[in-house]
Order: sequence, then C-alpha cells, then structure tokens
Amino acid sequence: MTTVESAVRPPQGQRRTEGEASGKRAGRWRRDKTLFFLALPGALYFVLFFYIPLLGNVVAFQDYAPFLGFTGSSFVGFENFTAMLADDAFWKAVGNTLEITLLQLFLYFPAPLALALLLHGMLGNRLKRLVQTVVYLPHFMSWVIVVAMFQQVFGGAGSLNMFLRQNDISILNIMNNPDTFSLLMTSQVIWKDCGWGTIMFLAALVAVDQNLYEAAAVDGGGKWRRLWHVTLPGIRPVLIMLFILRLGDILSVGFEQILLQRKFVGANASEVIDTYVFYNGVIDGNWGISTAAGLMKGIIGAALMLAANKLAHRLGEQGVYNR
Amino acid sequence: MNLNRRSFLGLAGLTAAVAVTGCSTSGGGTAGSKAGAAGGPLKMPTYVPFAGPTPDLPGNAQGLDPGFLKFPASPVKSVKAVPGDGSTITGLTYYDGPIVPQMSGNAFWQEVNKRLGVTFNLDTGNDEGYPTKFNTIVAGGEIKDFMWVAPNQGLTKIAQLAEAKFVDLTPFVSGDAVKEYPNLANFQEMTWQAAVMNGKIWGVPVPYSFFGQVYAGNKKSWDSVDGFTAKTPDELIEKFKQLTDAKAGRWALEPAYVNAVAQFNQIFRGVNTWKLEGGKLTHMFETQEYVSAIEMAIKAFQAGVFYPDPKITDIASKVAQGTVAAQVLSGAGWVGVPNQPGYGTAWEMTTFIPFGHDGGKGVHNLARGSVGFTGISNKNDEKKTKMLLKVLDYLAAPFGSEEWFFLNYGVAGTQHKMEKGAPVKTKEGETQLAFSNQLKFMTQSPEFLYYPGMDETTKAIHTAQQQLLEISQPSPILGHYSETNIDKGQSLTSKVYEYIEDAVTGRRPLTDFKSVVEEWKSGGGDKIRKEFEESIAKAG
Amino acid sequence: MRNPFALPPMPPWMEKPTVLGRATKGIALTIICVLVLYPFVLAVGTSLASADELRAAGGWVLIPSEPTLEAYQVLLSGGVVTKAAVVTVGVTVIGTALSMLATIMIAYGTSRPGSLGSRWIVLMMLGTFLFAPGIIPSFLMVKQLGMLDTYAALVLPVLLNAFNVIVVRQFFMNVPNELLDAARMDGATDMTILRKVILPLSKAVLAVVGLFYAVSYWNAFFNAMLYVQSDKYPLQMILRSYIIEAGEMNAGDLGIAHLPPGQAIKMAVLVCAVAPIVCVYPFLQKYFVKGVLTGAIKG
Repeated sequence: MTTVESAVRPPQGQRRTEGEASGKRAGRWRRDKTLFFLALPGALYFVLFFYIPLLGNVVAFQDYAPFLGFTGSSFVGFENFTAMLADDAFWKAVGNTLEITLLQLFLYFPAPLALALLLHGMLGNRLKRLVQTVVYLPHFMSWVIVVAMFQQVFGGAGSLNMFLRQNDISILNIMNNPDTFSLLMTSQVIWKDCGWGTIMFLAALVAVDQNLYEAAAVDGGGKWRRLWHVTLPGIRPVLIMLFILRLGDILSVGFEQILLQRKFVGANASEVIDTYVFYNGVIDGNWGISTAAGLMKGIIGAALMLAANKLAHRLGEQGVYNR
Repeated sequence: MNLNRRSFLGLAGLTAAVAVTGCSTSGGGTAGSKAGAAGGPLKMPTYVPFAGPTPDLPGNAQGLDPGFLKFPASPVKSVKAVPGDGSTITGLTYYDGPIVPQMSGNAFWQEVNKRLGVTFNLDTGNDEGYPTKFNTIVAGGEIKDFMWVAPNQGLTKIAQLAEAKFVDLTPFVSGDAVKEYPNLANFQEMTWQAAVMNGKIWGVPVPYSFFGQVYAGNKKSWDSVDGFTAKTPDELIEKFKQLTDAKAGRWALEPAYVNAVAQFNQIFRGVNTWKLEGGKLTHMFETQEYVSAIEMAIKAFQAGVFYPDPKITDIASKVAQGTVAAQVLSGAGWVGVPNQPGYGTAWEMTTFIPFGHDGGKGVHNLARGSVGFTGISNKNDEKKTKMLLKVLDYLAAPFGSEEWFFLNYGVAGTQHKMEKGAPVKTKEGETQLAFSNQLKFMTQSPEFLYYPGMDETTKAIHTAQQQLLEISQPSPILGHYSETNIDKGQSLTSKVYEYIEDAVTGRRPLTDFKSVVEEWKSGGGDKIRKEFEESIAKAG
Repeated sequence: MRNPFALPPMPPWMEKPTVLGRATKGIALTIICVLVLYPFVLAVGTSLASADELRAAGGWVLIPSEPTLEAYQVLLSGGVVTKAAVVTVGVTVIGTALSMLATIMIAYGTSRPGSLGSRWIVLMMLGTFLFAPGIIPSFLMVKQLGMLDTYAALVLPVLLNAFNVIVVRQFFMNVPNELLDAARMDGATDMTILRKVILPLSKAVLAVVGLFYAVSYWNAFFNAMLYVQSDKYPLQMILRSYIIEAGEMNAGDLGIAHLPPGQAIKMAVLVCAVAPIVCVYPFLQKYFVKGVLTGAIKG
C-alpha cells in the first residue's frame, strides 16, 4: 500500500532549483521575469481595489462622519475598541458566531464531500449529470426565498404544522425556537449550498489518477480500501486548502440568512459578528465601532489560518502557501 | 406615500414607525428658541392654505385631511411660470418600486422635464441601501443638488452635515418669504419642523400624514364580534380569541408585537414617546402604562391570537381575506388601503379607535406630519437655489391643482384616459408614472382623501380621523432637538424593542424590563432627556 | 432511450455493485433530489398561478389549475428587464473572460514556490480573506479611477477573487513535475509550458472557476447599486426590486393603485434568475465529470 500512497501524494510544488545555487540576483530575475510579469497585473488589482481601500479601516480609531472624511474626522485612539469590548451585545455576537461556525464546520463542511463521493461513484453518466444539475439548483435561490420556503413548510402557520393542527397533534416549533436556531441555520445552509460545494471536490476527484485505482485493485483493495488509500489521499491537498481557507473566514456566518430570521428567534440567539457590524455601521452610523469589530474578526481569522497552515506543514502537507 | 413600511424600518430592527419613535432626525428651535441665521429668532414659514377646489369634507389645521368625493372638474393652476432654467438637476431620493423605464424610453419623464424646464438626473436608494448610498455620496464629496434626508436611518451628525453641505434656507422660506413658493406655503408649521435644526431651516420637508399608527381591520371579521372595540382590555382579548381559529388557519392579529404594544399603550392612555410635566420629561418606557401594554400583549400572545410566525407574506391580502383580522399601519398606509386592488368589492376596512382601559376614551398618538426633508447642496448659488426651490414648489402642488394632476396621471391619451370624470392610468402610464414616485420623495402634496367611486369609504375614514383627532396627543418633544437622539436614539430604542419582542413571545421574562430600561437610560436615554429638557426650557 | 437502470460499462478492476448497494444509493439520491426539487416545482407552479388562486391558497400553489403567464408578462413589460438582461449578459461574458485571463496569469505567476515575489503576492491574496475594506473607501477608489457610472465599475472592482486564484494555483502546482521537466528538456519557455502543459491539464478546475466567476457576475447587484445609475442596472438589481421584502406593501402605502408585485411575480423573478444558469451549466459540466488527467499522463 505504501507504494500506492507515496505515488499519489502530490509533488511538493515545483520548487525552482535551477540557477538557485549561483544565488545571483540577475540570474533569478532572468529566470523568473516571465512569471513575475504574469502575476503583476493581478497584484496591482489587489493593491488598488483591496489594500488601498483597506487603509480606510483607520476609522476604527476615529469618530468618523462621512461628510468630514478620513482626514477631517477626529482620532479617538482605542475608544471604539473599548466601547465594543464593554458592549454585552458584542460578546453575545461572538458566542453565537462561535456556536454556529463550529456546528457548521462539523456538519456542513464534510457534507459536500460526502455528496461528491456519492455522485462520483455513480456509474450512469446521463443520470449522474442530471442529478448533479439538480443538486446545484438551490445555490441560485436568494436567501429571501429560501427562508420564505422554509417558513412555508416548517413555520408556525406552515404546511407541516397546519397538518399537525388539523389532526390534533401538538405542533412543532421549528422556525421560532431560539434553542435550535443554529441547527436550523446549518440545515438551511446544507440544503442550499451542499450541492454547489461538491463542484470543487468533483473537479479534484477527476484529477485523481485512474491508474492508481487499478493498481490498488490489483493489490486486492476493496471498495472502502480504495476510498481510503486512493481517493482521499488524492484529493487531500484540495481538502486541506479548503479547510484552511474556511478557517480564515470562520467568523463570517450567513449574514443575510441570519438577518432575515432575526425576528423569528430574537437578537439573543441570532446576533453574530457580521450582523453586529451591520447594525452598528450601516444602520446606526457607528462606523468606528463596526470597523473595529471587523478588524478584530480579521485578526482572529488570520491567527487561525496561519496556525492551520503551519500545522499542515508540520504534517508534511503543502498547505495554502509555502515559506 | 409612506416610508415607514415594515421593511424599511424592519431591517433597521425597528417595528414601530415614526409615530412611536417620533423623536427622530429633526427638531430644533421652535419659534424664538434659538438664534436664527440673522441673529433673530427663527420665524417659521407662514402658512397660506391652497385656494383650490373646496373639499366635500373639509380638513383642518390639526391634521384632518380634506376629503374629495369627486375628482375636481377643473383643476387650478398653482404654479405661474416654468420653474426651471433648462439646467440639469441631480438628486438622491428614495424609491423602492420596480425600476422605472429610463428617460429616453419614458415619455412621462420627458414631459416632466419639459414642463419643469429642467433635466432630472436622479439617483435612488431603497431600504438598508439608502443610508449606504447617502453616506457614500456624502463621503465622495459629490453632494447632489437635492439630498433627501431620511428620518431614523443611521444618518448621524445631521446638524453638522447640514451646516457643512446644505444651503441654509431660512432667508428663502422663513416668515412671509415662503409666499414666493405658494405650494410650499401650503405646508403646515408642524410639517416644516422636520427641516429645522439649530434654529435654521435646512431643507424642504416631505409632507406626510399627521396620524400615527392605527389598527386597520377587516370589517366583516370584526362585525362578527360586534365591532373593533371593547370596554376592557380583557374583553378585547376575548374578541381576538373569537376571531382566531388556528385549525382553519385564521388569526386575529398580525405578528407585529411592538406595534401591538404601541396600540395597547393607547388603551392605557400611555404617553406619546415622552411625557412633559413641569419641565421634566418621562419616557414612555418608564411609565406604568407602557408596562401594562406589554402585559396585555403577552396575554394576547399566550392566547395564541397572533399569527404564529413573526413574518408574514402578503399581509395585505391576508387581511383582505380575513385570515388575519387586523394589521397595524402607519397613518399614510392606513388611508392608502382603499386604493388597493380589490378593495370595496372583496372586503372593507374598519379602524380601531382606542378605548380607555377603565372606561371612557383612550388616546391616539400623533405622528409628525412629515417624513424627512430634502436639503439643497450649498454648491448652488442664490439664483440656482431659488430655481431649485421653484422646482420643489412645483412638486409640492396639492391635490386639486393642474400640476398635481399632471405629476400623478401624466398627459391625457398617453398616460391616462378619462372615464366617468375620473382619470384611469393606461398600461403604458402605469410603468412610466412610477417615475413620479421618485419625485415624491423630494417633496409632494400634503395628504388628502380621495377614493373614486367609494363615497362611503371616504366618509368613513374622514370620520375615523375626526374620532382619532378628538383623543389625539402630539409628542411634547416635537420641534426640539437633541444631538444624542439623532446619533444614538435609534439604536437605543431598537434594543428595547428587541427586548419587547422577546418578552411578548416569552423568550425573556417581563422582570428583565427594568434592567433593559436602565441600560437604555445609561446608554444615552438620560442624556437625550437632558438635551430635550434644555431645549424645552430655552423655548420657555 | 436507454434503460437507466442497466449497468453502464465500468472499469474492469471495479467489482460489480451489489443490489443492496445500488438500492441504498438510489434511495439516497432520490430523497436528495426530491428535497431539492420540491421548492422549485413550487416556485414554478406559483409563478404560473393566477392572483385569485394564490389568494385562496395562501400564497403558494404547487400545480395551478389554470396556468397563466401573466406574471411573466408584467415582468417583461416596459422593456426594463430586457435591457437589464443585455447588461447582465454583457457583464457576465466580458467579466468572466477578463477574470479568467487575470486569474490564470496570477495563478501561474505564483505557482512556483521560490520564484520572485510569489510569496508576497500569495500572502497578499490570503489577506483578502481576513479583512474587508469599507464601502466608502472602495467607493472613493472607484471614483478616483473615474469609473463611476461606467460598466467598468461592474467588472474591474471584482475582477479577481482570491479564493478562485488560490484554487487554480493549487491545481497548477499539482501538475506532476516530470511533465514540466520533460517540457523544459525540450526547450519550452514558461509561456509554452503554460499553454501546452498546464492549461490542457487543468480544464476541470478552469471550468469550475469559470463557473464561479460567471455566477458571481450574474448574481451581483451591490456594486451596481453603489456605482452606477439606473440606466446601467443589471438584471439582479431589477429583479431584486420585485423581491425585497417591501414588495407587498407598495401599492397601498404609496397611495397608488398599481398591482403589488405579488407572490406570482416574485416566483417568476426566481425562475428568470435561475433558468439561464441552468441552461449554461450542462455545457461546462462535461469538463468535470470525466477524467481529464488520466489520458494525458498516459500519453
């Protein structure tokens, strides 16, 4: 088995070695200039449309008002941060965010992989394509409609509960229950995006060398063994990459989805960092506090992402970026 | 026209409308409170009522809308000359309907340009997008000629913004100067308060109903329980129960809990946001009446009379069907109901007039008679400002004037045709005339009642308005200004409202209310109170 | 039609699936399909139902008794929707093409660890996952570049998505070294390697990322709201105006008697928004359902 496994392991990047021994700047430049010029326009894009506007986050340290501008607004030091940390609603939002995000990490993250394996294992090509098209559909429904449909089926006046009422069975409080809100959210996300999430895995699955399956079968590997020793190692780099990227974004959970259902369960159960930022910034005009919350979110995400990437390197994986 | 619909404020975490949160963007010196531009006290624009066709049911200065049973046969000309000078006018205004066909393909828009002598180049925003758009435009430094300033929408430091970017309109419209613009002179003083800050007039207000929120019910449903009224709160809840049949999918009340509390508050004769006694203010959150109202809503919730989901699709048609017996509407939304398709044939409306919890009468909490104001960019010189005011004067043309008729129905044969003396929009007109809804958020005609072919409805609403006015109370802070209220009042109030939703639905106990109000006070409520009290003291 | 239940040809090394296994899989997939399809059938049914039927049924109709296209007619009247559809198609096609070009360039440019600047550029891209520039500074940048109220404002500010770039880069990096070495041995330049080796081997991921970009251009509305005036609005901006929660209240509140965009129109909007993507999808699908890499490596 080891032979198979090591063969499947992806090459550790095509680290450039030619000319490196000489260590000459000019040599390196000659060697890399094509790549450098190819990457340049994209890099310029990120500077222009991301990093320069990002400087606007200076308002986290200001008492900002749009008509005064970034230069005209007064600086207040860390006042926005202390105000935020003293705000119960902020900590409530942090708690809810963590609860929802962890639940989604365990329940939602693996779901598309499972579905992708199921789809990949299907043999009939025509049927496979049909099923795939079908499972992608919900991704294109806006949250407004998804929530309306969930309410139509599971709401207090929804078809399920109307049926229960008419048959004198006690009704099920699914949509309006703060205690199970995170579960409801997760199932909505799975319904909406699980199919769509399979795309990346399917693309990775077709990239697994078919010869390896054959080799494994010759070695006497059964279906599950092939899954464990060929399929999963084959898509491991993609899996790890997606996982690390997800960690960086871990504190963003379903903004629009939550906003739409805030009334159903109340702010106590549904305030997350993103809605906190929204209500403070856009609705209440507290630009400083909302930006400060956004910055905090980014710093935590950065720490998680760097740690995960480091761990991946320790385990001999490529991670997202190399040192 | 109505801004404070469910979604506009709903997304802002605000269920009760301007009527309840009355203390909003505007305010400022009443006559004589603070120094005006010239150093003297601010003189509010003189009120000169429009001398148009006599209404069949007269209005009054307290806010009673004039009612018309027939469309005025010969509309009066209210604007003497073409207001514009041929230039292009930019503006940011509110609009949330289906997108309007562009100028090049919109004959009505072109005709508006022609008659007003300008080219309108409007930008619009809606719902939560409005404050975003407003703030980006302000930050970008490209203030439009007209900027609609929304009430209650997270637009902070409005007074300073106005000082920095808007024309001080005081010299143009204060006192008799407003007579230059007869249709603006037709706005009542209470309406103008929306645009007053620091003793100056910073814009032209958008007139709006003086009435606060009302419970509008399906008449047939309520007739079956002997009318939408009662002698005691318990009797009313009993009626709610009778109107509810969950198995059949019927409920008495829409699930707007905070609005319901506001209605019940009126049964207990609660205050209109603030109570003024001997120069001291008490907020409604601090009154026993308000607590009683919450208790009543909790009772109603436990009786299962609210629609079981906190959101409802097609509430209008559910009330029409009688599957929900009553909904809370803003003053303007309420008088707009009879314009809905199917009204009068399929169903009719009845209005809840608050009774007193211990016998006698309840109260009705008035709104402010405006919905924000339109500021004019100070990039414009005096001459251009006057021209822009003339344009707003045209847009403010009241019902019964030629200009109102044109703005709402376009040109005969193109956007509408006359049937039995009343205009009916053509299919083409329906789409093109949506443009006039963008104009309405810059300013519009004061409210009126006119429902073609529905004389009884017109009379019924006019009567209900009189009954509400009899028991009405205005907010004592009207015309006063608190900066903290503008910057923080909204978010403070919405936090309390979120608690009320939790309390009514049983997610949090009523005993928490005290600490929630304490938080409201320490978070800024006390500061707002102090600022208002100072403003009131100065005004004497 | 071929019997869908007949066993298709399969690789010789794979054992014949058991009846039980096939049945379980079949049932699982059927349940998934029903769960997903029911709401869509409901949406299509509702979009075809008459106003009276909807009112009687409480807002949703699965199979309308008298189907009508009224909702679609209302939507398409006035020419606003058709104009916006042209904008959206243009933005989607041009935007996706530009985005793919830029993505391939930057992904390839950073795909060899140790090459000049690649590490910094990758770190820069990762940063975009963590922080977000505010709406106002982004607006100011677009304004500074003179792009306000131009179609460019709908494409350039969202030209690249770091996630997509990193995914493509990952796949580029996974192309076996032997192939690259072989190509270099033949004297191929970096550009030739990209064209002749990397791109042909990455069709699957490029199809996926192309789809991602296309879908995000198709669904975008926020930048349109901020950066352009209504004559340049894309389809989603128009459709949204029908679907946002406010919809139902308009007519009565504004005191005008036009028909409120009811449930049928909302659902027609949904159908209009989803249908084109569903139609385009099968053309891309072929790239990622069958193995591309196998043959190439053998050959």
